[in-house]
Amino acid sequence: MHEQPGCFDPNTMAEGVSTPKLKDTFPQTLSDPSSSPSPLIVVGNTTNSNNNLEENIRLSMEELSYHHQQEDVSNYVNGVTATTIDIPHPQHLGLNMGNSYNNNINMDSHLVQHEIDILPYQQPTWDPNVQEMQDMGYTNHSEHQPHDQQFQQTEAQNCSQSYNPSSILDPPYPSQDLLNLLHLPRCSTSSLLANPAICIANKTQNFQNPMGFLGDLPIGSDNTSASSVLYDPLLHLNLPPQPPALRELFQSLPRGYSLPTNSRSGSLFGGGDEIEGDGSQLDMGVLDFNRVTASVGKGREGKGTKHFATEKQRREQLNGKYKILRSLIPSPTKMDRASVVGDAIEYIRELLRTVNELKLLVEKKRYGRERCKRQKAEDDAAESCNIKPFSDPDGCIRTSWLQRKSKDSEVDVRIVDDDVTIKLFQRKKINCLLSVAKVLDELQLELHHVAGGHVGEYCSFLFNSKIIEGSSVYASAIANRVIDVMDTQYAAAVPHTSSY
Amino acid sequence: MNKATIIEDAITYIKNLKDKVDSLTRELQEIEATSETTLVEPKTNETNNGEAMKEWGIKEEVRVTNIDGKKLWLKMIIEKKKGRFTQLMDAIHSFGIELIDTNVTTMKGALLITASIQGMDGEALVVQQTKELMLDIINSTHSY
Repeated sequence: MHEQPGCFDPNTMAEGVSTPKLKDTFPQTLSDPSSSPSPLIVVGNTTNSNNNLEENIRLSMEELSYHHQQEDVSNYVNGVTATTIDIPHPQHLGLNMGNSYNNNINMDSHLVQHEIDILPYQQPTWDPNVQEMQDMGYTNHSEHQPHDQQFQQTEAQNCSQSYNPSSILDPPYPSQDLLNLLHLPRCSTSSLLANPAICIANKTQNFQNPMGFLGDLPIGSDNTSASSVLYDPLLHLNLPPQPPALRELFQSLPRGYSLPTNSRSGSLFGGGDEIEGDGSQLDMGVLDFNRVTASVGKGREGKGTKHFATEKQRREQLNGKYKILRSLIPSPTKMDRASVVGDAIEYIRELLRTVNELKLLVEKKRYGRERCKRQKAEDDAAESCNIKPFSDPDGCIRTSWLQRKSKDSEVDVRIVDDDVTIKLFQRKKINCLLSVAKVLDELQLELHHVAGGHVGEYCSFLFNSKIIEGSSVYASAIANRVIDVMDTQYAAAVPHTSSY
Repeated sequence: MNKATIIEDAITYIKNLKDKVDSLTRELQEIEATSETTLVEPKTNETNNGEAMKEWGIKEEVRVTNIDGKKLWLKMIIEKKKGRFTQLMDAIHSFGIELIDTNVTTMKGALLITASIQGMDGEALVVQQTKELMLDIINSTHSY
């Protein structure tokens, strides 16, 4: 077995890393570095589906001060893995940590890179490497508490499960540094056996490595991704059983959880993260973990539990989006949110109708023209071009309907086949009839019926017209034109009301 | 799907649809621009209007009556011609007559206009004058 230092020696930590969260979360262990090692369990969280895990990982990551330095992290992880478990895959820890940190985008790439760097390193130089990793890891984490066998077990599992040498590129392996980072207590098989709780399911096919070298270590039946490591510095072997927060946490992880795969890491971290942490000992540490990580994970700036700034940000963002939506709608009525959404719904429906109408028109035009050409070629008669260019082989009738409102006018345009019905509601003072008649002439609409009159301060009209054959006018064009004319006329007429 | 994503999706979708509408409109305009078919058809219909009117015994007429104070009641039957209604409206307006309640109907090539009119800004209209005015207008627009 590997040598097992009693605990992490902060003095040996090469790089000083800030671990603010760790303090908060694990006051007991921090203050007592000589206490029994607690397992390092880092929950790999590939996606955002489980915030808790994310937060856990974040916290663990922060605790391990991974963000500080890439190498440190991976080294640290590897070191932890290596030292605590009899598995010559210190990289795994790095991998795991990297994976678990994957939700932290910053960490992902370099972690993976580093893990890849570390991975190729194999057992032969295990012992010194482990030691180095321990040292390194510990330097990263000045107050890191010793890991206990559970962590080692976890790491071992992770290492063995997730490590797939074939998928790793060929970078140099600074495992020695890593190993020195962590003065993780080596775990014996028996101790590992004693803590069967930590099983990390490795879903990726890459993690096919048999756990042979783990011997009879209890390993989760599922494949666990290397990234799924649950860090629980508080976890001591002799801790009393805790509420199954961790279990719930793990169970809430979606099965198909997968880390954002880095191209370099390839399939290494592609697998889903699943942690079946049902060890009760894990729960306590995890519980505290959760409380702090919950707030940390949520706040992008890493605010406290209340995260006011993010809440406010969120509200402001939402308000901004409402404003954008309102600006897109042509005729917003009221300015409150509900009516904005209601208007948006109506507008989307109208746009869909318009799209259908236009598609139909384009088709008919094309179709009609083709028929024209064909028939012209056939019998050279100009009349044949006029034979029902609007008739569709599939017989669908063009319909559309939309409304437009402006400050002083309301227009409702409905089109069924070639019948156009325009309803106009306009504040008085301008000659609606004349203006609309002009517009209809422009748009090649033949007026058939008009009905309307003055109603109080407004005038209301209903125009029935037919589309002259060959014209491809569409509803929104009509409506917009009418509204424009109305508005300009009204604007021009208002100052002149008394001049007549 | 929380509120923010729904709103975001709505914004994206609306923009998407708007773009579609714009592109289809442009396409339609292009087709129209390059279209070879000419609109000869509508004119041919109108030449039948006079005949249809005769067929149905519809005659052009103008009637003006006084109703209720300053208001007059106007009834016109004229032959429908392209753009004639617009001209009519234009002319009536230029003479200071305001149409208050209007009804226009088309049948058998004829246009029936029923309206209550009054002078703009309260100007009083004389029945006979108005009738003659209308007849003049009709005659002037007839030849279009």
